[in-house]
Amino acid sequence: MLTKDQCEKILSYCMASEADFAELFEEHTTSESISMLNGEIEETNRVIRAGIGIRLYKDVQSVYGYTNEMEMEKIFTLADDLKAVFGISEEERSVSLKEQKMENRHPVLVDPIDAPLSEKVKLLERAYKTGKEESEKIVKITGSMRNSRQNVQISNSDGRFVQDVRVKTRMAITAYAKEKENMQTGSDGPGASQGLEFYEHTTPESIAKEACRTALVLLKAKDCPSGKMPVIIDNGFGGVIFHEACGHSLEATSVAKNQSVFSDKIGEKIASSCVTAIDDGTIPNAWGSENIDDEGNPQQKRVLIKDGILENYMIDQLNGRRMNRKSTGSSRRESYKYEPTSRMSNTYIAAGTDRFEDLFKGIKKGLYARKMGGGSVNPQTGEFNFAVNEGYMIEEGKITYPVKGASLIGNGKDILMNIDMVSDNVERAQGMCGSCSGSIPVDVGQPAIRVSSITVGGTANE
Amino acid sequence: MNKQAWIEYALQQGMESLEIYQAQTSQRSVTWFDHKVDAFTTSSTIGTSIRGVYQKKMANMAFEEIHDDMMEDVIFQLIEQAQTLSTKEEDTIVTPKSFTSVTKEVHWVSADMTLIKETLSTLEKRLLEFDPRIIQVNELDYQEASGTRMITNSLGLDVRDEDHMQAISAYVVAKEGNDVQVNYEVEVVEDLSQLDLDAFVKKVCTPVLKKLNAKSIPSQTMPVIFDTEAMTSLFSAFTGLFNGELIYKGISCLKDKLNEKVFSEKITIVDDPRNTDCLSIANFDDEGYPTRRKVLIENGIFKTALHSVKSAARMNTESTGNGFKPGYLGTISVSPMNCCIMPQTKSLEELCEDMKDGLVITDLQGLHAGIDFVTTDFSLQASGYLVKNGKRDQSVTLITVAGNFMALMNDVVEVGGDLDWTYHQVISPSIYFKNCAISGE
Repeated sequence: MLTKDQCEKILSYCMASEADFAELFEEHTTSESISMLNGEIEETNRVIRAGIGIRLYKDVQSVYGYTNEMEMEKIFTLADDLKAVFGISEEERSVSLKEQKMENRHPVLVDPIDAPLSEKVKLLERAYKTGKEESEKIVKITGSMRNSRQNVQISNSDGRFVQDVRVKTRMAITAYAKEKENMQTGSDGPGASQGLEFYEHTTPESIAKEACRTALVLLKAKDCPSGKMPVIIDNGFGGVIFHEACGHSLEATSVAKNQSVFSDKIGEKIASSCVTAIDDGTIPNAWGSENIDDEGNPQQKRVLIKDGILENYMIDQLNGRRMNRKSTGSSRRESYKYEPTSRMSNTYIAAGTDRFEDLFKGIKKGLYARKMGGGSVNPQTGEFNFAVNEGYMIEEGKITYPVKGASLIGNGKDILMNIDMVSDNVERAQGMCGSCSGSIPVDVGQPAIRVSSITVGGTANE
Repeated sequence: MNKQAWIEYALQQGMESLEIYQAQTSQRSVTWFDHKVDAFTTSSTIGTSIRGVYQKKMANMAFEEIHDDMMEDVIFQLIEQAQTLSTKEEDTIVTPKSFTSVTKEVHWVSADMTLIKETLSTLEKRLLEFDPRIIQVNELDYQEASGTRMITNSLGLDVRDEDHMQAISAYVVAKEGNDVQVNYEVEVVEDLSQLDLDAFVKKVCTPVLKKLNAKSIPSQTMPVIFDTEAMTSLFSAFTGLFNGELIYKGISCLKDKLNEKVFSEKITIVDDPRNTDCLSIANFDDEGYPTRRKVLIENGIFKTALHSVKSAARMNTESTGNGFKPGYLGTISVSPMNCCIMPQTKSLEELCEDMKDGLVITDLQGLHAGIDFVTTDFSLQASGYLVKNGKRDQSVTLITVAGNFMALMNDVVEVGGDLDWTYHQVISPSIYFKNCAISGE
């Protein structure tokens, strides 16, 4: 990492320009992946990523450059390129940095990067052993473990100088179940901002069992019918609905440029009164947590929607200038190769008061989406889509049979209004979220919710 | 980095072979928003990936920071990794094979900042003036990128090549009443000063205006044409079917189907990294293995799978030169390059006339989630327009199209002739299918 002295020199050099703000983001990240097929370790890869990103602002304009050639001379050349866009000034503007110490809210007991490879291999082998014993119909199991340790150092012309270490581990298991010519898959992939101690409470056995359970259910699934119907979306990864349908449209990235259906809607009712939604980057050891965001601001808990009323957006510093609002500590990026912008962290719908079983009452024909896949949204139009990985038909208030091949589509602003029941069983699940500042770890979450009407895309047209 | 010293040390430590892959990239882009430069990004990076075989097992590492004094530690870690691998199959690094090179004649002219700003400013103005319903130019972007890749191995391989790209892109928003629609287009530009601005403006604005006032339609099964963009998206999501590694593992449903009829006889698929009509070409893959033209599907019959050195060895055949990595940080996997469904002759309009009544899908969303690769089932958000009596009618949005890719590719009525390689590496012309399940209102 660059010393405080070196950072001061670079920042002072950057500020000898028409820019009104300069920021350095340096990272040194070690990551590894281990992949397994049917109990055999088939590939490992260990990667060291290290580089620096420099960003300058002039009002709401930004210029960004990055390099992994860390000689001071190369960094100054990069700064020259950036300064040239705004204009160079002869005036000296000396930057003096003050080191900030952050409390670490995400302690790690067994660093997954330093732990011996054999220990990590054993965890994957335990998952395989459990999976293959689940059923004779499980014909193949693939697994992977990804570990990373990202050291970041952020400094800026306002005098900030702060460091953070983000440690993550995640295991993903996919089970393949086969009956005659019918092959189906099921997956589970939990993770945390934690070390290998994570697998003491989320055991490899439990991950394998969950993957196998879904694959075996899907062997019996029928094609999903199409059309508009009530849908119960279960807790955990079901929260992807809020993430896609609303979360992205509440990021300053789209709000600040008036490119979101929720721009200028603070204080307005944008959701049904039973909806309270939160984005919280401070949850200890959660997958989407960090001590500071990628501009060096402390992560926060943000109440986005309270009882249906829009209270806040997720805001980074640059878009904060556009919106005349303060940063909410929401600036994130995949690596130094991306200019940061406002992103979600751990986003969830808060617990409601309905009992899970009551959600099914009164539904003549509907869909129970027990496990969701990923999805996407266009914040400008609000149109979203997501896949249902494990679904069941609801007929006359009862779950009748499993269905496959379903997707849900709709418009974010409509679906928020159509949530008519929220149960009390909040759970979170892990995902990777892709957007303009790269792919970042996020938690999605919710209790089971009921949407009164949504378009279900299936293959079984009646 | 003293590559020879690394190779010698690795061999001394008992490794059977070592490969050093390096990639150097530089890039700059200018984003324009609201009458001014919104963002300028410039970068220069170099990365190294090292892989080596120890006791017939391959280990991988990659670095953005590497010095010769890390040599002992890195080779030790590679050996430790290789010892952890427990697959029965043997890994190898390839002995160099001779090849002739094809070259693509492109005369890239780098644009200076003044020209870039002037062009983006004029474009923004013309996009907004094109039609009062165009309410915002969400993003205008110009970018130039260059890359060099170098591969050296202990068996005498020493190859390098260079690549360059320049492109302009625009994203516009149109509104009429309460309906908002968007469109995004990219154009590769050899020389920005020669770009036909009016043609580009038309290409960006015409589709978005046509999308306005789109409605959902009732759920039904109906004849469908996937236009070239939508069919390219769908086909790209399923090119893994030809991936030798996934076939070997039994994850691709083409396992044990070689020389069998798997698609309609109207379908022929070719992969050719040396096709100079394409934006990028490669004479060798990321293992240094020579690339070549392959017919994957010939009139519906599965003829060849794509292979890296590893997948080829598993299936007792030779690499097809399709071992690529997603940048220096990743490991080798099997990938298509310049792969297409071969075009026939008819335009999209002629296909619509043949269909008479049905649906044209122009856009698919959610491809990363709505696809089950193993069963080839898909259920995707779509938009497009209805065709009545052979002519374009009502625009359609918020529907899903669902089916099974293998079944769909056996249900082909006609393959169109509208193939434009501009910037895709995998591409399909428009295809007219007999029936598809549509969900809507």
